[in-house]
Amino acid sequence: MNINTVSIFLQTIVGGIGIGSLYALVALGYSMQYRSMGLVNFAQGSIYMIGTYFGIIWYQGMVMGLQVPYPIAFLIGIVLNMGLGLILERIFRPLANLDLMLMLLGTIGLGYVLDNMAIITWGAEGFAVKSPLPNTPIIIGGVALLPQMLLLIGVSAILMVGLTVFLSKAKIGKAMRAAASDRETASAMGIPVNTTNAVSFAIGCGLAAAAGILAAPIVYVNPAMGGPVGLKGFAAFILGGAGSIPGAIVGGLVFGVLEAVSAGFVSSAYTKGIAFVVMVVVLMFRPGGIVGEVTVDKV
Amino acid sequence: MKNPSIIIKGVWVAIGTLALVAFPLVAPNRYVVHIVNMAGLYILLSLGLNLAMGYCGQINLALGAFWGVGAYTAALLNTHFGVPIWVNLPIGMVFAGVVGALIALPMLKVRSHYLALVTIGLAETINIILVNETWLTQGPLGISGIQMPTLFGIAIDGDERFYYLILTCVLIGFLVARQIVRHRIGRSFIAIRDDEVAAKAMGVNAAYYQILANSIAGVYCGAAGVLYAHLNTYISPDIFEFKSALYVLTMTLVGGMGSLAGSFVGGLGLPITQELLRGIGNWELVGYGIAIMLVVLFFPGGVIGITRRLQESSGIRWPWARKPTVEPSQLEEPNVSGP
Amino acid sequence: MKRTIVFGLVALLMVMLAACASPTPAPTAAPQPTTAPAQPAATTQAPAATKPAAATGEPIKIAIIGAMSGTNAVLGDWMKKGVTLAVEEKNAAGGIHGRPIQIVIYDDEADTAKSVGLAQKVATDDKVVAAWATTNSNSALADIPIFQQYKIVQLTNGTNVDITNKGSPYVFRACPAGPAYENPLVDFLVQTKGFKKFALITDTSAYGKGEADYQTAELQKLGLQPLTRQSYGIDDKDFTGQLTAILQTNPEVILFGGSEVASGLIAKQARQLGFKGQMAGGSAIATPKFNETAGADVSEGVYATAPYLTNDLNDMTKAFAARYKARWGEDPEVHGANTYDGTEMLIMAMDKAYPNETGEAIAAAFHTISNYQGLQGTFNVQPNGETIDKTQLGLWHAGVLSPVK
Repeated sequence: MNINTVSIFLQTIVGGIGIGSLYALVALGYSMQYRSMGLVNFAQGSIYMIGTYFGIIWYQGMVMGLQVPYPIAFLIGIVLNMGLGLILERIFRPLANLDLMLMLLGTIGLGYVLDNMAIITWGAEGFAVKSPLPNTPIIIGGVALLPQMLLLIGVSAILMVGLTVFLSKAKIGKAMRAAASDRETASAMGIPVNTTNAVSFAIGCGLAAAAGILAAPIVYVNPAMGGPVGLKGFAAFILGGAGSIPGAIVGGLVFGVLEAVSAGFVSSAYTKGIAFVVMVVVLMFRPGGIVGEVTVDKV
Repeated sequence: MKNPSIIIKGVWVAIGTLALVAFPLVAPNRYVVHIVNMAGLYILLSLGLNLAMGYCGQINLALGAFWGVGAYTAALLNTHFGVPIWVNLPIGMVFAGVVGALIALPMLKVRSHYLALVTIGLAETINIILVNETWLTQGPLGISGIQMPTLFGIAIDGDERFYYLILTCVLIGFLVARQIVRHRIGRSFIAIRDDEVAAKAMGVNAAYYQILANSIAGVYCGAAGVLYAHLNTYISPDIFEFKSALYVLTMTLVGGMGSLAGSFVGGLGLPITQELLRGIGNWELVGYGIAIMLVVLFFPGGVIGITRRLQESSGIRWPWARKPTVEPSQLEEPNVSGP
Repeated sequence: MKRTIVFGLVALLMVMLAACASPTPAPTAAPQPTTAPAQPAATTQAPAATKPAAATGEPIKIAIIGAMSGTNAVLGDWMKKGVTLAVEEKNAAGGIHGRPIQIVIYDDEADTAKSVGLAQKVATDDKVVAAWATTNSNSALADIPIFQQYKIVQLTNGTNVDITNKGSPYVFRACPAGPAYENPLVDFLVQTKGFKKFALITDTSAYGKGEADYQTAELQKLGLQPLTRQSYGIDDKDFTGQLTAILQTNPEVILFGGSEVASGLIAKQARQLGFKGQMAGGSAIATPKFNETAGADVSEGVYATAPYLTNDLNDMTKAFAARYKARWGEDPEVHGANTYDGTEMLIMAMDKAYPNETGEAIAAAFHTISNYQGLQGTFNVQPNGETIDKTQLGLWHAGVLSPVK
């Protein structure tokens, strides 16, 4: 076990990027919903948890004993969670015009409903998920890379690039951007704002499901898994700059690495506190987040 | 015209006073008194939040930390030096007020959801300190053996007697809050909440009042914390986590943000409703979540908002729903936190 | 001025609450807790068709306070199952000299403040003689003054040592305290296996912090100092930071202090980061949950201590496991076993105290219990409320935990 300082540092960074990708995907969910509807959805953590179950129950053979391969379970989970997103968007359409605190409360109410429905349906205990990839790490330069972690990082990167391309190239993507930057004008120009909002919301939910199903073999699946990830995803969303797509990605990775580095090199007991304090300091100097805010036209 | 209304008022006051004084004597058991005592503490917390958020428009999710600072101040002073509650109360209030003012500093810089995150972050950090600084706080195990107070040789050793202490504190807290909102301070709060730029243009020192509002919130929460520590004789960090701030926020919004009466309705109503619904486990929490969503979607002004709306549409004077002259209605302007 | 009217109404509301919550003035006037939750009536009825005369007299009430909803619901559920099984068996066999035991169950959502309120409730409203409160050490500690004040027997299966240090004659712990798990484990690893370099990793909960403290104390007693002690938040999933810090110190042994799931994940990640040494821990490591989370290849060769290593320990545990499975449709684990043991002792104490079924008399009778053979071993009730201090050392092999000879 001769680990030199450089590889220890790299190892810590890799771990941070892995967990940071997870935060980034969840933060993208916040961002998509915030851009389109001006809604800060504090139930995102619960949606992430539900999305994980939606995919993993197929992989684990919990539905009629069917043993579905991991990639297919992954897609099923995303599609089901997007469906859930379409329903939720209908419920929350009126919320988007309300004050932030009412949004907070309304979406937290939704979180209660989702969390407890999950406990009623799947039990509170939870289970471990076996990775579809081998458990033996690939070692490069003294740094151990876990296949499932690489899968999480890789697929997250693909999803992030895909989302950026979709928003800038595809017709509906452009419409969504237009609706996000100026709802009234977009609506006047014939863009179906309600449809683009629904699609944005559903994409946010789909990303959360993707994050959850990718992380499931690394973490542990239970109805409580959403809370902390939701909070840290929110932190990443704000840290990067609310509503910004690159901001969410940067925010997620920065938060993940920050946590890992402070756990490994500063004080493991104060990990969360250090991450939050650094974040507060960053916001003091850049009140609009690292990348800067996309202003959402409200009122 | 005036005489009958004064008589009616007198009758109400008499009934109210009698009921409040007699409550512990007629309560069927101590548990009911305990629930009401806790509700009294929640009213104090909610009053503090209401002044900072409902009146001054300052989003504050760090309430649990203020509460914890008050409680830990009392617990440490009492267990180490035997300091009685009567001394702890002002000390805890000052400490929590100072923490409130410190937490307000970033608030001058950041706004809206950024502010929400900053307050969550600071509150979590304070909680992590409570968990980790074992030499001071005994860590996650908490502090036990806090003494119940005595007054002129009478031990305030049960919920029934403590009830009168909490009742007194809540009444004083309410009267002070009422003075604040009627005073120039309150008018400045409302001006800042409604339009910070305009308020500044009119010569209101916005930064000063924003810090003051959070400091006042800290003082209220600190008082509630000291009372909590001496009432339950045991505290641990998990009581003051972020979830406690959410709970107080929920009761304030359900009662009516920007209305002192709303703090009473929410602070009493939510714990009592939960108590009456007790026993169906997870379904209860599903129902709780749905109820919150319904309130937010259909009654964004809270219970006070509903009664005000009823009053406006029916012309009936609900005594608790009068639209006060110094409290601008929340209904027309649901945007309490500013743009 | 008119706001005084609001006060009048608020006060009225409180009086209404007082009236609503009061069971006695109700015209039905049944002593049964009509306002109490629905579960007790359903779960405590003795099966009607059993052969011995089922108990029919006036019920004696005991309470269960625990996390029944939310994310810690499993702990409350296990407690409910263990206690209910013991009570049902006793009721079917005639109860306490003909008086059935009735259970009232309350959910504290693993929330200390709620737990204190519920302790007040069972003491003053339900008027129970004994209460299980709770698996969570924090809540158990918070409830101690209340049960002491009302002279009600308090049973817990929380492991924090402080629970029995508070001087209450009413509190009893139905499982070994933390040091009983960690001391023999550390002694074995140091004295038998000859390890000298230990690294500790634990969470920031009362449980985790306590276990790591006991490990440290025992190591120091043997003249060793842990190389490092790392902490993590109870919600954490990625431990790379902590583990790289540990691996830098090049330890022979990693000792776990935290919960089942997190320890399982840490074990897995430690192996993936190239740790080849020994891993070990207390009761959390002896649970099937640890093995499930870590995977059988990772748990291979891990040492753990617990009073109830497996259901196949002896004839008594096998019979218990069969009855438990018949009643609940699942295999028992350590919490089901220790709540069953504790309730059996409570029943013995109630039998002894008869006809004086008060908390005071039952507590006094409880203190006289000695040499009782339970599922976890031999119980001898100590003056401070400890009942058992022996654990067994187990070794994980091929996903199965077996006692080390």
